[in-house]
Amino acid sequence: MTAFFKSAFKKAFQSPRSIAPDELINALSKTEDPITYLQGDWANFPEIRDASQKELGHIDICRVHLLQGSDLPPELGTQLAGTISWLLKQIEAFESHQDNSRMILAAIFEVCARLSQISAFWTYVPRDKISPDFYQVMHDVLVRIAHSNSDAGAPVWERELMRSVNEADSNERWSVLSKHWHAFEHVVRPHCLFSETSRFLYAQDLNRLIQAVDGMTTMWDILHAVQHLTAKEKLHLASLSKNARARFLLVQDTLFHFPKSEELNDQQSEYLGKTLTKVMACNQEWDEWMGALNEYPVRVPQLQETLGRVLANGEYAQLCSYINAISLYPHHNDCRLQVTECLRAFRNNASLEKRQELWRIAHDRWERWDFGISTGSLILTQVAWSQIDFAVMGYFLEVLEQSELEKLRSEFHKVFYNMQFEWYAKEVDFLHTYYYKISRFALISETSASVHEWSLPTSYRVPFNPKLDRYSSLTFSA
Amino acid sequence: MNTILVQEFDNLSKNEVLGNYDQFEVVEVIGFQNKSSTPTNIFTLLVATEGKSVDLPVGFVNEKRIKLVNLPTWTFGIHRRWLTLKQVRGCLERFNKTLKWEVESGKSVLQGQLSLGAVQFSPANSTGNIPLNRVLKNNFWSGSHVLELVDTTKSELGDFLRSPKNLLQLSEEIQKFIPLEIAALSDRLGNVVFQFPVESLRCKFFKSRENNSLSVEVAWHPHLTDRRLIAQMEVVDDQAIASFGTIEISQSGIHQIMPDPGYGSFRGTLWDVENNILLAATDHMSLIRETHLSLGITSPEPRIFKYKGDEHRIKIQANDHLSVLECEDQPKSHKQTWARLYSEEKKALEDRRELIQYKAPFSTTAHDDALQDIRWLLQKHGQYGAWLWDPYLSADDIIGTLFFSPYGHSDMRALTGLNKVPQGSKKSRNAIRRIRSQKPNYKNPVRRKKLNLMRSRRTTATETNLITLFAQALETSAGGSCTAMKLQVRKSASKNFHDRFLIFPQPTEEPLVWSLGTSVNSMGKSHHILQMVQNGRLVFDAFETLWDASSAPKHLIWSS
Repeated sequence: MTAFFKSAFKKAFQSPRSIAPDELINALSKTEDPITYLQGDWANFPEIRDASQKELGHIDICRVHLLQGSDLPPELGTQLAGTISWLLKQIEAFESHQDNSRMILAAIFEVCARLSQISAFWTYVPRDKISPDFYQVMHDVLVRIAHSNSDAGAPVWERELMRSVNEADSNERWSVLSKHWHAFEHVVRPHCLFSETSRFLYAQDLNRLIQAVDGMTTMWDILHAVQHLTAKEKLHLASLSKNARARFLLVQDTLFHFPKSEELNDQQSEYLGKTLTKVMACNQEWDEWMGALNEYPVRVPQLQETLGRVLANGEYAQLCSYINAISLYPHHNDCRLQVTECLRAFRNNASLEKRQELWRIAHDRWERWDFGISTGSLILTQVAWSQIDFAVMGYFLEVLEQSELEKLRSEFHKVFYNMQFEWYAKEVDFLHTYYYKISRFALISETSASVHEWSLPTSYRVPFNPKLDRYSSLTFSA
Repeated sequence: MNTILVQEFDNLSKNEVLGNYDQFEVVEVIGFQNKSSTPTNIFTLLVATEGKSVDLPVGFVNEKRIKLVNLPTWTFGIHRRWLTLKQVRGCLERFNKTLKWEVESGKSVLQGQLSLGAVQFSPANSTGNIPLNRVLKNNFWSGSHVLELVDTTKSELGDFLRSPKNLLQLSEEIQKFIPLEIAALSDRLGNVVFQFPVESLRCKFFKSRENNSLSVEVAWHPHLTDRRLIAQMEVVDDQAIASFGTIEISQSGIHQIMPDPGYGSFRGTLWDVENNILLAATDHMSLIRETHLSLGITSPEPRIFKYKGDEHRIKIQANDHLSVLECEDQPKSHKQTWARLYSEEKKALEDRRELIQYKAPFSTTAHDDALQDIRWLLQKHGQYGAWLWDPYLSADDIIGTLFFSPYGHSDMRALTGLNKVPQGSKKSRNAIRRIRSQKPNYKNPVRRKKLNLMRSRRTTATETNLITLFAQALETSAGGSCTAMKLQVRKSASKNFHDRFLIFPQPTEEPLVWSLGTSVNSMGKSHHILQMVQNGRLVFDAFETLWDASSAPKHLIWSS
């Protein structure tokens, strides 16, 4: 794409004539506010749609050629160069006090919106070809964003949800916002005006973009401004922003839309790391972040590795916040894998002292949680795991002395033997006790096998071979 | 008998037959009475084990003695100890000589007359619950042989037999420490039970996934050599033996007993050929042949309404369920069988008066027919007592029902709220009507205050009159003799009750209770259902509580 735009710009500068979208400008001139109708309510103004398609449709055809990897026909290249040439002249000569400035601005946006579909178009526009007025207008567009919600006629649940979301936004309760995110984030459909403006400012005047976004006081305004930026752009902006709301929304929005199977590249990861480090400096903000992003880590797999690295420099309170935010279930699941990825990165980056600190915190929580059986009426019918098993293994391996670990291991057989003499009201109580004891010891017994690798156990050892010792298998329904 | 007891004990405890027992865990539920220095055996269980736990505490399991509100002269303790096989055998030999059960020489407990009961085998619970398992320890696997010294007189345990409520309370207290449900087995109170859990093998009777055949997996204890067994299974469907299979097994492993038996419940046994003893048995088991799973979608939009000033919101679940799983098609013939079983069951319930629907059109004899059903129940179940509970109970209602009980000295009780004018003589009815109809007609506030005072006095007087009139009505209507009748009628201390029940207390089993569905006086006259109540104990307890609360002389209406 870079080569394509370089070539297109070169041709544009050399182009003997620029091709103006006259029909589009003419159609726009018939409206009260030409910008309102851009990519919007074309049903009322099909003339704009038709003119745009006729005069700018070649940009979309170029995009298709690029996607297919086929050569651009020469006449298409000439047409594109003519359009870009017109665009550059308009931007260079733009004066906001001119009578037709809004019409010209609307046409510029229409062209740019199509070009931005191909790549980061604005980064190729030379700074000296942009008039000061154009900079100012673009900045003003963002500053004047004012989102308004109307819930008249909406169902009760929707009204209540929006009330809860707006409350969470004004109280900076990111954990609550995150919980409802999937239900409302699609409500924000940024106008191409905002999208192009933020793209332009990110490429041409990042400070003005930061200034504009940092000045926004509701999440709706911020989402309108930044939602169409790329993941890298959002994470970069988040790392530079001084606005806690913007920081969270930029990261949340990025991670929410990031393909789950893809990983962050180095630069994205670096920006995210910087943001997390900044957030970690404020305990309250960090708690909210952990509540929002770390309760179910499977939702944000891209966060884990970076979070682990950042945690390596965390203080006791922040480590507690991290561990306590994770929702614990007695099953092996993807959350368990994601936490493990985070903790593995933490282990690779943290000092022994820091590791021991986190392992202790995790082990304390594991003990208190006790597979959830003390707080609920859970009956274990299989071996229970926890999402923080990696940290608990860390406790056994790096906090306990070898002799203490050996003592624990030797207790296993004794506990198992004595189990049969206890009284149980029902067979299910017996099996529950059996699985509970096995679960308590599963990590201890596995640590010996994985002392170097620290691989997360997903199977467990029992004091008998289920295939060979069928007597015990039938006793324990194993 | 004496030699048989030790012989049976030796057979069951023989090494490597049922297990390698060398210890017994002895759990004694003991009662202490103020009047006696010797404790009373409430229930004793001795469980044969191989080895013993060092972790389980010995001595009294409950730090503080258990106390019951209704038995202030009693306290109770649960004691645990370990005895060797030899020591227990010694106890039995001593019992043979003295006919007294003493777990330690010289330390006796009060007990009734003990005699040897039949040796029983109690399988693990399956689809149902086997009563004996409620007083056995961890009988979850192959089953347990049970040897029992039965307290035939229960002479020391009258306080529990007379009031099952006391036993229930004690049982609940015991279960806070160990899961012994002695309340469910009042016939075993005072007994000494020896439990020999089969530890020599584990087995599992199951239906094969591959071909639906019924099979058994046998696994001998790792320290024992495999012995010859006979495995047997029978499948019962519609009360007929649908399939039967038996095979000889010589080693551990999975063995097919019979091909796909179709529908029905099954029962399996494993017989030790060499030792002539049952090594495993199952309770009647049923297998799931088909499953239906339904999904319902919850709408996010709640239903919101106000009720008594408070806003309520109800989460709505869509009514269109989607069945997503069906394992196996039911044969048409079996559906027909089920339809027939349903009709037969319905008819049987009506015959047993466990569920009768009285519905229109109502004939002139409908009320009498309904009362006939009550009389049928009184004859069937009223031997030990019949308690009638109805706020609108009148003298006629009592005479029309309880007086028809054919049992002499049966404990009959009637609890009424006096919510209806008793059906006495016309004179007495008019008297009551007159008292009730007097209304104040004074406008002067001073006189009105005076009248209110008079009315409050009159209310008491009215109630006394009602009770008197009710009693008179009973006497008048009943007329003749009340031979062998033990009936007491009380006015409920609580006015706020609307329940209508007929309760039959049972001496050793759970009470039987019927919900009348309407008052006795309107039975058969309007739509209602007479039905037997599950968990009748709860209704029984509620009645007893209210009955006891209404024991003051002012509540007594009539007593035979």
